[in-house]
Amino acid sequence: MMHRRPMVGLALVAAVSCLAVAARLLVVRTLDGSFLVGWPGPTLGQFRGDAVLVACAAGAALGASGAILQTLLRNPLASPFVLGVTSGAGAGVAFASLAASMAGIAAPTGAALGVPALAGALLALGCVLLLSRRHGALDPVTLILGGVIVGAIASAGSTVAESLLPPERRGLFNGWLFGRIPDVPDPGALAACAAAALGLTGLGAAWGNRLDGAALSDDEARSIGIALGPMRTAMFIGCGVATAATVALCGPIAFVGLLAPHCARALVGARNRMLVPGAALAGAGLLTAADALRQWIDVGGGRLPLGAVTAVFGGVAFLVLLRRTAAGWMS
Amino acid sequence: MQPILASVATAVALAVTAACGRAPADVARAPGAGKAARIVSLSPALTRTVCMLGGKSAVVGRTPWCEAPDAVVVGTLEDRNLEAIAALRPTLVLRQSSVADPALETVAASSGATIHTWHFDRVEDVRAGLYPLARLLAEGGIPGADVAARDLLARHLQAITVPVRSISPVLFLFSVDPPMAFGSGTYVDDLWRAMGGVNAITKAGYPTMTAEDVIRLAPSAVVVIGRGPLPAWLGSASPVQVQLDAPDLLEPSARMLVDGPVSLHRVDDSIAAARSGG
Repeated sequence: MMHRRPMVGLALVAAVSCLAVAARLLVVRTLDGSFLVGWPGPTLGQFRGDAVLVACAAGAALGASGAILQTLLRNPLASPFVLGVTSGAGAGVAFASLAASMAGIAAPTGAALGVPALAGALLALGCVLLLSRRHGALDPVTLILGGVIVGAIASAGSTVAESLLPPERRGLFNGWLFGRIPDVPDPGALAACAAAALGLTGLGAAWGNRLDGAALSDDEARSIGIALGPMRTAMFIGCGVATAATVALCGPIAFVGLLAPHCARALVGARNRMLVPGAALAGAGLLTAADALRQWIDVGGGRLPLGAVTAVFGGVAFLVLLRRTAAGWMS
Repeated sequence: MQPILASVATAVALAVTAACGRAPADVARAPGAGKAARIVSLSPALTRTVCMLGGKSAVVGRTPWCEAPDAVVVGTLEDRNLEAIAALRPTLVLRQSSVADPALETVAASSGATIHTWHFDRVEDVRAGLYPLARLLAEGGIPGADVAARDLLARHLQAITVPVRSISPVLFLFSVDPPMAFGSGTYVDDLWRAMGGVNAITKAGYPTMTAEDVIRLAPSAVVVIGRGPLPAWLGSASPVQVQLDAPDLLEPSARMLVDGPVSLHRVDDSIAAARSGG
């Protein structure tokens, strides 16, 4: 009976995520406040389809990254944000915008926006990994501290760069910084994010047993024959690349990487072979649902920033989840 | 007929506004009056307006985004350097905010300066603030500020009373990714409607939209104010797309008042040319 529970849970996560996808594809609120239900035809349907693809790719990458990081760091509050990757990407975009402004050329947009974001994200990740290396291995605690510090420095750099931007150039950067599902995603950025999500999810599922071992203490993991060092390094880099690809595609998005693993864990259990795919599915569903909500709610300024929706709804849901699962999140 | 009536009504309203020169409450009495003006401006729009009134040389402190390069940067409205402001010994501190700033008031009082607050959100705000600001500059020994204000308003009137030809709904975007529009009650909406045009957005403010929203709106023309490439999907929203690099339409200042209508007439000409196949 026990071995069937994760499969049933995984099917449940997939079903709920499919509902979110259907809601995003078929229900929209127009600017005048009326709801329209149904398929809008090929032209408008293309936008909705692209939005779903982007949300699923980014959400899956964040969800899988969150599950793996929580396991590796043995910390239920770990998420891609902890590594400082998001702030690094923001700093990359800010400095690229500043450089463009100083050179008197147009600020990077679309696909070009992804280049500095990815560079900043990888630079931040590299700094964190270097800072946290102790005797040839990554120290989980120093990794978190390093991520926080690098993230803070990158955020400060973004603020300085943004303050030097002329007012007309700050809008684009601010819009990106709130997180967004682009109307027309850059194909390269979307493909990279989807590949990163699939690759990381597959790797996490394939190495599920090793990840389970990594959730124990280092000594216990070694006693059952798991070499933590190389696996941690590979997984951290995989999570960093997946998160960077997400940031390049959508900007920084809060809470999905934190919440999706908890949703999945409640349904499929804590074994990583099922948890990582479950978290990826949950992340895809959560981000798609957040984008659908963004279409339905208008507090007076038009469409809400995606990051605000994930932070508000994800934060509340996370608090509820935390109360229910605080007693034994890894049991 | 409707555009002409709108323009006439605007002209009458403008004439009354200009004649009255309505002053904000805090401009009624200026203790620093009579001294040579030394201006610290914490608003790019106000700095630009001061410069257009002939007070550029009197600006001694500014934000990083203000014109008046000779002035010292003293920070922004939210993050101003009080010591730098005090060291400049200003007579006038100009800002746009509804929030009291006791620390700034203390610094201003210690150097005998007065703080003047305006809210340049809509066309009427800028028009109403022009004469009081000119009067402050004149009291600070800047000759011709009142004449400059009158000239600016006259040029504004002249430009705004010429009706546009495009009377079907036009969508004005200041960002395409994501699409963000000048909605009802914004200064671009004020100008366009005063010139007899119709804004496709009836929602107030600056709504953030999606590509689907824009296509569903199906405006007769889409005007993108700013630089950068236009997305291909705009073609599905409207057959007429106009892009205009018009900084005067990105900030509600005196420059918007004078150059904004001229830019909008260029938009109107471009729309007419696109419709006629030119």
